[in-house]
Amino acid sequence: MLHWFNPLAWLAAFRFDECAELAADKMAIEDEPALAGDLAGALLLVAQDATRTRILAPAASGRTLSRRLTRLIEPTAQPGERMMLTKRIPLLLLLTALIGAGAVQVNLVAQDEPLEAIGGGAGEITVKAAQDFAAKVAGTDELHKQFKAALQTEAGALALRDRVGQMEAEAREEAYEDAIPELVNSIFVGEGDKLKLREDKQAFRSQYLSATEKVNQDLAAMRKTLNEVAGKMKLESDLDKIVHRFVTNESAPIILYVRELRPRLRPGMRVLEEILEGVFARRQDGKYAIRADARPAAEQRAKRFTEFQSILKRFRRDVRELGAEISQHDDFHKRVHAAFTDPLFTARLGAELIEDGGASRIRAERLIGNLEGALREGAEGLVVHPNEREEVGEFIEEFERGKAAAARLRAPLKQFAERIADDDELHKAWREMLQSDLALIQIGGQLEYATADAGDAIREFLSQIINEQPDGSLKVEPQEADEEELIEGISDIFRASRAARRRGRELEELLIKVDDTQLRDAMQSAAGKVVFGDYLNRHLASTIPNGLDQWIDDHFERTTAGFRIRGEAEEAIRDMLKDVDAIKEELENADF
Amino acid sequence: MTTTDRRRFLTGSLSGAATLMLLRNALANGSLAESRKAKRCLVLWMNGGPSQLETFDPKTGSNGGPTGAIQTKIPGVKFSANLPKLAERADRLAVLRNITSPEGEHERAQYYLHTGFRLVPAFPRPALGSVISHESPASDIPSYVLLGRQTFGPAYCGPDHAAFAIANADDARRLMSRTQRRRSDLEFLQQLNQPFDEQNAFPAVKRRRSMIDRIARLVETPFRRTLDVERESASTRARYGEGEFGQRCLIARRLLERDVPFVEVQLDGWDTHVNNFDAVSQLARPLDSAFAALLDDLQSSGLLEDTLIVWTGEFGRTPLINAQSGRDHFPRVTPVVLAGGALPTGQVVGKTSSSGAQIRGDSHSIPDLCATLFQLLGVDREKEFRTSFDSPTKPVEEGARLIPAIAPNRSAG
Amino acid sequence: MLTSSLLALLLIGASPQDQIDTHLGAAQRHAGVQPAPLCDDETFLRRVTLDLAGRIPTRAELTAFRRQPNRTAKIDQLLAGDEFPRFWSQVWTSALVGYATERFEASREPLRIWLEEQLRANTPYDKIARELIAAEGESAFDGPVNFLVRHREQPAVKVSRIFLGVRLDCARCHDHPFDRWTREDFDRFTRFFDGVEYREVSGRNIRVLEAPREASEEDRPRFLSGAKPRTSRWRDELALFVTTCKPFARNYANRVWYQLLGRGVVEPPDDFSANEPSSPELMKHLTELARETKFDTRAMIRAICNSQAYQRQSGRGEESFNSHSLFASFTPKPLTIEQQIHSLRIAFDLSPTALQIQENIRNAVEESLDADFSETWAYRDNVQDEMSRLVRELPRLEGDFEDWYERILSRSPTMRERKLCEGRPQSQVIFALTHSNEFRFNH
Repeated sequence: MLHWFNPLAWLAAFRFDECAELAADKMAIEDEPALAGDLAGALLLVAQDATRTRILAPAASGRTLSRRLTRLIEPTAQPGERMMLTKRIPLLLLLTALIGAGAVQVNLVAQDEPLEAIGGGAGEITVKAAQDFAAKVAGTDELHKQFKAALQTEAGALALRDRVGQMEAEAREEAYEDAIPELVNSIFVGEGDKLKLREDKQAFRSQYLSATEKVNQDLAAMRKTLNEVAGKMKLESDLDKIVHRFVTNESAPIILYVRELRPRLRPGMRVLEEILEGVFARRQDGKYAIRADARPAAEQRAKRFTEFQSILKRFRRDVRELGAEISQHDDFHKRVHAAFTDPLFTARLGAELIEDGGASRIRAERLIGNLEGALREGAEGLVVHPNEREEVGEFIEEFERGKAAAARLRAPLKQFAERIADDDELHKAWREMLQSDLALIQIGGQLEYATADAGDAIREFLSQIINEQPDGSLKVEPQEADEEELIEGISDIFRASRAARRRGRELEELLIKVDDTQLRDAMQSAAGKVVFGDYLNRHLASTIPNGLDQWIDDHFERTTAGFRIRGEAEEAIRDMLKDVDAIKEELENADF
Repeated sequence: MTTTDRRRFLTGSLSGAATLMLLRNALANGSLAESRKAKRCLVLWMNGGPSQLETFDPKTGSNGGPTGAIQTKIPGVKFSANLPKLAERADRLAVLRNITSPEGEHERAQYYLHTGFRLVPAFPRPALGSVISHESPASDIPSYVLLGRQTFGPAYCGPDHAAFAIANADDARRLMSRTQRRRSDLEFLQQLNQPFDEQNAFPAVKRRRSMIDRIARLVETPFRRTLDVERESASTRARYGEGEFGQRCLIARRLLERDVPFVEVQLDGWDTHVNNFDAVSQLARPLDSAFAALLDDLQSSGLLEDTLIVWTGEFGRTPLINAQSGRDHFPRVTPVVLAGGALPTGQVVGKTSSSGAQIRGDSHSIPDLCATLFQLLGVDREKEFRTSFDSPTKPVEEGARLIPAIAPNRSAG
Repeated sequence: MLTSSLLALLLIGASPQDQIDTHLGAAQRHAGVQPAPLCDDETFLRRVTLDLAGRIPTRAELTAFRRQPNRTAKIDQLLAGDEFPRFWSQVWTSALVGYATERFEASREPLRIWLEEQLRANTPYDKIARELIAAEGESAFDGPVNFLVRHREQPAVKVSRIFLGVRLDCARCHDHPFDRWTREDFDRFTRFFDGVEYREVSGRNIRVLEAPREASEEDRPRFLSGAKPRTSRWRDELALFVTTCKPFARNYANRVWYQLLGRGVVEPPDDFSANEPSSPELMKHLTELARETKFDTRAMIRAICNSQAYQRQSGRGEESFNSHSLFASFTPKPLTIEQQIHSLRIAFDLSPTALQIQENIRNAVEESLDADFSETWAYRDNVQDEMSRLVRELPRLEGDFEDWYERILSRSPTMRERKLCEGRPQSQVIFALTHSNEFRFNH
């Protein structure tokens, strides 16, 4: 991250409106993989992945993202003094989550159904779950008895959570270690001394290449701006030279791109997420689910939608019939005519009905009556009443804008709908609704956008620290007290870029034997690595270790009678029982 | 807000001149010591964070943008070309260019500027207006009126000193006249329920009974009429600007004339991340007209002398222009302009660097600003308040210092 | 006068509610306070229906109760009813997170829904508290995490207040001269939350998770009792410490009491350190009751509602401090927003949808300025809130003012009231009843 004075940081910390604007025309139409966040370029920055905890990588990141962001907002805050209190948690955090699954099927290790699963992660081990496990423990000696007894208590369940949690943390660390080769193996298969693309990975191939192409465009635009800036820089102070080194460095700006610029340039699905935020939230697993508190509203909407569907046919015919009578004697009326006869226009009116109380037949007829009221007979058919012209004009204009946006929305909306959690009838109803014309035109109407490319973005970014001099040259001029911080920030980026290079080489070596040269070249390019990082991110998030099963396997053997403590695990179990006793003892003394 | 609402203002007018004279005479009777203090405070709040560069601190060079600057009545001092009327009246302003804040997030910064304390949810602080209301003599007319939407809680000053928030003056008037129509119902309500209320004379019950009485009294006061700008002449309304902000400022003037001690007027739309220059020039038009009209009217009525006007927002904006011709959040320089009171006006306090990126020389914090405002308004900064959780506290943060160029440190009281 | 040991002897085998009254009776006699008589059946019905179902009684319920005024049976019926979990989930939610949760990126409703489920399943309160303190999950779906999300800036302060009745806030800045807790205590308590991480999964959906922590001995958290975590799951252990210690039981008992009687035995209810219980014996008894009933909220409420203390007349506002703090009469409580909305619904036979009720509540909350309603029964509306209520159009009602009194105030009019209402327009009478303090308070 750069500096607290950097407006991008403020921006990240505040409602990221222009994200939506930037997004619309660049929205991923095809199924684009998750966008990487700060940690991301994951390939690049495995060492800094924020999904790891501080305990695992204290040196790498020093503090968690949230803490870092706290510091951005309040530079003097001590770590832990207060958590962020921004209206929204900055985008960077948002990006650590996955936008969706399904682009690549990563089935690395065919996972066996665990024989005796009693829960998911460490957090879910309750006394009840611990008791269930205890019931399956078979041994009858003292140690087994003590263990079973311990699991009947809160303290026992807690100790078990502790062990399992630690196991998961370790497993997660291992997963990070192995992530790159595993992912490569899931894409390619060895044939002789060649690596061939797996047969089911054709879709991956084209998605990957097109995503890489986009990043490439960004990087090229960025490079162009950087060269321009570098050429004009006046190199006087050390700081000038440091920044110049950064600007001219091959890979360091890419880190900046991944961390800061790309999320702004390609917000992807987040635009839809924001628009639908009142009803849906994206879950950790990437699925969209209806918020616990939005159900009543969601149910009402769904009901009204069904209501509208039932009258849709006739309503559409009525509107079209009216539209057909509209005169086409001038441009304005031609537009009105075109709108009225457009099926999307009926949907637009339907949205109006649904918003405003419901879509019963009577209300629909009343609406048509209102429309008719705005028209009157003209020489060549119906014309818009002069008094209503302004309002009708605005409505038509808004419709046309919405329609234009809707064209780009169809695919993303479908994608969104497909990612709706398959929970119940209500979710199903919404899945259908979101793929209707009605959703398309309604959401399309809410999209506004402006364009900016990566070159602009990096220019804006650099303008925080570089100033134009009267003679037209550029010079580094950060705010006085922050020189140190600037150097620290740049060092951080250089560090990250070196780490990324090392990881990148690992990937390059793995890919040497790939026979698909186009894919190989893409994957070995800088842009390709950024995209690979996205896949890696998703892969990592989808590899959720089952610590409990692992812990059980490590400490117990499965016999026909039930679980039995392994001889070599007795010490560890005793240790755990000691903890349980200690906790109980502390509990005895919990009064004050 | 809507055009029809505004059009309704365009008919009918009634001058408040007579009342005004009476008021002025009443004011003249205050003691000399008191007269040095401002009796009323008007805050012009630029919601979203106003660009200092396109208002009171223009810059040239790459950060300056296309707006341009004009000479003001203060020699050597320029304002943005967006503010021609205020430039002509700069002798009645004190422009503070050395106020700095660390809060760059809207809500936290708004809270900070309104209360003088950083947000600590466990320890809510009252807005300045609530403190002033608390320190003002009891009145049937609200003592803290807010013309806008964004309010901050009265905290330990208690609900009686919450802002009377008016997003739409017509709605507020309608609410009051509808309540007034219930006059006999209210009377009957109190009469019918007297035995219960007397039998249950617990604080909460008593408070609600007195609230009903208070409401019954409020709707009989001239407060409602004060909110009615149609009572002003068409030319006056035009001078303030026909938009929402102008009309709110006109109402503010009418409230000040009624001796409402604290009025805040909000102008939305200053969060100009995109197209800053067009956006600010749009915003500056009503600001320039209304602020200038306020200065003129309050001066000619004599009220300006003991009215303190504060123009500010939650933070300034970055000198550097972003890729969308916008400016982003820049609390490091938070623009503030003062007027009225017995202030040393016609001066610029502090200085920003030529790029606008930093304050040169002595800078002041938000608590410093609040301490200065309390000083100007004659509020005892050492006064001990009790929070709802019974903790003693003072209205200004410990260690805040007065801004010497505005309020030379005389011993309080 | 009985000595406390003799008293204890006499109380063996007495019902919990009798014990409440015995302790209070002794304290009242000792202080020379004369308790008010028990309230009449109509008042009791209204009071207990508001407290347990969150609304006034219907006319049918009034008629039935007049015919068969069995108070104990009524309490049981209400506790078994469907409205009890709904209303008490609102009560606990307000105490836990207040109303203005959005500002803190927390969601109130998922938490409330979760609490309603817990109350419906009669989950013991200590288990609820443990889950709240140790919660992990996503705020849009997993109710309990919203408690921490709402208070993520200072979780230690809220946890100690709401679950222990200890105010660590003051110790945060300095060692308080009158308080036993030091800044060191505060810092070490705060450290229990060092492992909590908050990540925004997507807009308004924050994932709360726990990173296992390790630290050197002197950096480890420490509970107020001095207990320290043994494992890496600090927050889990804190949840156990908190819910096992006696102050937790005491605070819980006091809060339920406060909710029903309008005033805590320790007052204010979140500050045990600085305030003595008005009746130490009663506090002790309630604390024991909490532990004996294993934090079964219904059992606790049943005992309190069956006591004479709960069933006394209100209406001695001008009496001495002692009479209030010893519960010699009932302290009127302003209706909560939810109670008001549901009561109007009953009075005027309205049947809004769940969505409308939710929106109503949201609108009402937006009118109010203060977020935290949990610590006081003060009446907090400001001029505008009250005014906008006063001008709201009320539906017309069938019948005459005799009926309206029953519908709105759950009683018949007095002679004076009959005389006053005679000949008045319907709208005026209904206005006066609906806006009366008698309607707006639970008394």
